[in-house]
Amino acid sequence: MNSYRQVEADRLSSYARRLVVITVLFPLTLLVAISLGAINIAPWQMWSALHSNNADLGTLRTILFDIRFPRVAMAALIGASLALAGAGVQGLFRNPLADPALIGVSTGSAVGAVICFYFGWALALGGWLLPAMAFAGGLGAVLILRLFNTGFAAGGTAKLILAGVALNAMLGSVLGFFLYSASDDALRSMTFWTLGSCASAQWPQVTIVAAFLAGGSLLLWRNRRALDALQLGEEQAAHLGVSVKSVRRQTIIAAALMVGAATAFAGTIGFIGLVAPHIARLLLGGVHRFLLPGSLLLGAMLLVIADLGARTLVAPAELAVGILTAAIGGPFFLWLLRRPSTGADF
Amino acid sequence: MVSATDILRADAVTIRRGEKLILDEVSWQLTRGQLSIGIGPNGAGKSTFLAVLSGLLRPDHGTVTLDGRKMTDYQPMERARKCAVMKQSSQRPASLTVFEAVELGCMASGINAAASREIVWEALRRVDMLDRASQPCRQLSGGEWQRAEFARTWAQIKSSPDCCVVLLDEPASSLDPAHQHQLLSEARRLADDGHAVLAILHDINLTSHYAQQVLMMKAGRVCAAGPATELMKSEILSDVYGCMITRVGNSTGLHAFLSSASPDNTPRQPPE
Repeated sequence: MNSYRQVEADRLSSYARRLVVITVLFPLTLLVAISLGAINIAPWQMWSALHSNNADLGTLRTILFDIRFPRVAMAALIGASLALAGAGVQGLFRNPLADPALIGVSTGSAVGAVICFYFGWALALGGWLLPAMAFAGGLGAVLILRLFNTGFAAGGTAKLILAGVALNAMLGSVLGFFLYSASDDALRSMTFWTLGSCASAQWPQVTIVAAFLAGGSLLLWRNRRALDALQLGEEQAAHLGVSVKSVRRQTIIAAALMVGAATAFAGTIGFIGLVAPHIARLLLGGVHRFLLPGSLLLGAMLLVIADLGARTLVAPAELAVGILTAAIGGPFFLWLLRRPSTGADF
Repeated sequence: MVSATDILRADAVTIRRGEKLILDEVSWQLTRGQLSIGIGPNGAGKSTFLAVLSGLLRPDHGTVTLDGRKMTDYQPMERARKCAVMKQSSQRPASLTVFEAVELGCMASGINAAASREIVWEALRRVDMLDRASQPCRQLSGGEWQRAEFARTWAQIKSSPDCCVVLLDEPASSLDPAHQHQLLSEARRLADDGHAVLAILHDINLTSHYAQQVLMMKAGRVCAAGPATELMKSEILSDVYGCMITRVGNSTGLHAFLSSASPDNTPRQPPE
């Protein structure tokens, strides 16, 4: 019996060790992303720029405080939000194909944003109307979906997924209408928005995204055991003490808040929400105690790296980060699927 | 009828699906210290009745009372501390290991991680699954998964001191004979420890071997219920199942039931 205990203890400590490695890699990734860019700033230069009053270093200080820090922080927070929302939605739907977009929040946000561009309001209210409308669109879509959060006796999760598919199709047609009838300039802005970018990062926006991420991750963390139990199916989870309807509601709200805030400021960024939780599951197993923090960190790192590529690969121009996440994420995901019996199966 | 040891009662429970009556005023009570086994042909309403008893399915008429309180007044967490249920076919959590899946049984109890780990190891030992503890659930065979599910149910029972009712829906359907006996012995031991246990089975021999009370259902009704010694007779069983069931045995008390096709050798037609 002791050898079985040893195997189990080893398994747990290897998960814990990997989580520690990811946690250590995370600040290193941030540091690399901060130092690379149009002007490369080595870490020791950063140190002296921040700790001396030398006027020569004033430009560096400005670049760091006004451009690099908020930009990298924004990429990290948005990546974390999308990945965590993905982990929650995949756990809730017990479905590896579930993506935060499934609950309609991304398409709803896109509708809100596209309406803004269509009427030329993108810069209205000091630029705040656009994120506000995108956020409202995303949340509105999720509120419609919530009407379908019925008891599990009536088909439950399957019904919710189908309702999400229908809702996405409807919102897609609204989106299509505006794209079709938009002027060329508006169309270009819309297209760029739907590919996603962290270029608008300023401290106020960063703070807002951070607040939503904090709220959403707290809500998911409170439900981590319930999300584990849901892997047995909803009825068995209910027999183990899970209040299925409330877990569903809280998970969807958490995902909607995080994805809504992220999308509002960065547009729709694909693939992070789908792929990051898969990588986390592969490395850390399926228990949400490890899976949630792992997804958060991996999502943040992935988007920081993708954003670094977006602003350096074709400098001084910029790529839309959504192009890179799909370009890197897609092949990687296919490779995951090809591997026999990995975390790609759920 | 009402006695102090009746811990779970169903009174005139009725379930309808459109015009069809799935359960027709079924009443039955579970008693502490007794292993009851529910049998009957397919579609008799056994699993539906168990779902009603478990509190997950609300009856259209009638009430279910757990430990003196109406089932509908319980929050899921409170209910899970009093009543452990093993469903007929729960889904396999492909990304959890066996240990993690069994540990979920302890989640309602609120006991600490160290205490729940001890219970999980003991649960795994009782179903011969120690060597599978760290494997992903997706690698198990059907029978092994069923044993893991029983281990999870056992962990749920043992982690909550208030747990008094155990409901098992066909817990042995995929098991080999040795593990069928192992599982039913454990179920009987839970009853001996003072729990009220109800299992639904399709195996008449296991039923006659382990049951203290038998609940026979047919077409949404209880057609016979009482002590196993009185009910496990070939005439009653033949009538319930609609085929020939013969009791064979020797003078030492060892016996078995054999089934064969109905006397006219044609499938039974539903009554017009």
